[in-house]
Amino acid sequence: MDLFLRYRNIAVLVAALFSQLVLLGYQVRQEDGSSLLRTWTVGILAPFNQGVHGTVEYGANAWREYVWLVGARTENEELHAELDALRIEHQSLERALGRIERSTSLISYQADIASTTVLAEVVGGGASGAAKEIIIDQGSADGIAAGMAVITSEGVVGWIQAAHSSSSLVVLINDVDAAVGAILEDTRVRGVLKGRGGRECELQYINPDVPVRVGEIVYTSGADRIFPKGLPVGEVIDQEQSGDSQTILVRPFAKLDRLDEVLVVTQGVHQSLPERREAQQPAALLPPAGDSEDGIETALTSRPSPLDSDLTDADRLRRQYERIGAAQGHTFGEGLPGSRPPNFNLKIEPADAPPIQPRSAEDLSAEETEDTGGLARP
Amino acid sequence: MRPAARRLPPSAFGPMRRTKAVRLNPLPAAAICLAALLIQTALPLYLPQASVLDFPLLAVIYLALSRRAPLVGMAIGVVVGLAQDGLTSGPIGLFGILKTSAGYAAGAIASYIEIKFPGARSVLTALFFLVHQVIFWFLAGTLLGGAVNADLPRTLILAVVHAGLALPLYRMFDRMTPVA
Repeated sequence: MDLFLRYRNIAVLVAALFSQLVLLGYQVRQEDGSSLLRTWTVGILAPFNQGVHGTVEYGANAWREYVWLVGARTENEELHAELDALRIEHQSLERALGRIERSTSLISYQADIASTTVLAEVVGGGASGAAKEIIIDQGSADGIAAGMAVITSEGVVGWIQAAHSSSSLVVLINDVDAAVGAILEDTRVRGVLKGRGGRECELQYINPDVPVRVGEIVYTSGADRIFPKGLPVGEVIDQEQSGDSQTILVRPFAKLDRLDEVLVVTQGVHQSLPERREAQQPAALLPPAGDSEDGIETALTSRPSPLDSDLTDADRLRRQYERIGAAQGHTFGEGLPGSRPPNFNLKIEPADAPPIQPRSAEDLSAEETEDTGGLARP
Repeated sequence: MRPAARRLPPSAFGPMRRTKAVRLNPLPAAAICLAALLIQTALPLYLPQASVLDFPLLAVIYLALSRRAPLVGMAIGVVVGLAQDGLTSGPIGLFGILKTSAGYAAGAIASYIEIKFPGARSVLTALFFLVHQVIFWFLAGTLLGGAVNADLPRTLILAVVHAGLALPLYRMFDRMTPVA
């Protein structure tokens, strides 16, 4: 006992060190996870740490943002100036990038089309507010002449009104005085595309009987001898039938109000139109209505021969004249001027036509009543 | 029966007169330990160079020297050292052993030498730091098998730095811990 009391302090120290050594050794063997002691210690001290950290951060922020502002105004002005300069540079680079992209597209299109073209940049608008005009940076010195077509990869733009030495004036197709020979995609009917001074143009001189659908594409017809045939112009966006005429509005494909680069056609080459869309009419048509009583049954059971259904009125008239000529032994195109023409009033019955039955007086009077809208002829 | 302490022979420190143990107010003592641990973990965030300082060691040495009792110094070292281990990614017990040894040694020395002179406490701090580092190298190199960078000149400089830091720090601790 005395020995223990004598070396009590050393014994306790050795015990403490030994236990910690054991603890140390145990942990060194166990290399996984964190111990409970560590969890407790961290759990107890973490809130204090967070408090200290938060306080220090708060103080540091207060110092930096409210107290330590020496030179902040000057720095702010310098940064604003730098920001402005960078913004200007950014816009300039964006414009340059856009220009390169557009030029690339145009150059690619230039290589694709058959016509010979010259790339030009739009450098200004027309002097007149009402007229739709632009000025390009290519002139007579570059081979540009008045009357040449101006296009983009999207569609036609206009034509050269006046070619100066280093610049040219272009009249856009939406100008009120502009006109472009145009052709409809589906029916291949030709008309004239007139500018209206606005965004849309109007396709004129289209027969009201011609079916026009919204979305139909309009191409150049080449009839104006300015634009080569087959260039896309725009698409039909509205169509109205009014009496003996129809109003067709066409929106040009080319962005006429945002032109930057264009192509001037120095040597135009006509190109074929794309394949015609399938006909607007249904796949199977009924035969023409006949007088036979069993017409309904015929319509339901029989199909018209492809030849007859495809014939136009002009074709039918031509066939009739050929039969008239054959009946009288006349060959068209052989007679000399002044020779006697065949009798075109000769009644020729078609080979497959039903025989004409003699009509009674009652039948004739009934037909006349129907023709006059039910009113008896005096 | 006479108290056992009266019959104890003079210790290995020599025939010096044994000093009287001093009781410390536990709350300020605990606050000093807690503050030392907090500073040890928080200060390097804002001042990375401060990671070479060992504030828990300073706190243990101060409290052990003030208490003048080896067992109490050892207990303080155990608690602070294990807590410091808990805040590190190393194994639990490494700093515990170091602080236990330092606390015991400081308490033992103070129980025989009454240290009133601030310079003496500062010099003892430097010595304890050196011993602390030597034990650390020994444990880390032999027991744990880790790579030890025993840079002696740097350690000597750090010992001087700790001694210098101990002067104002212990003076501040003196004001915080009134003798009970």
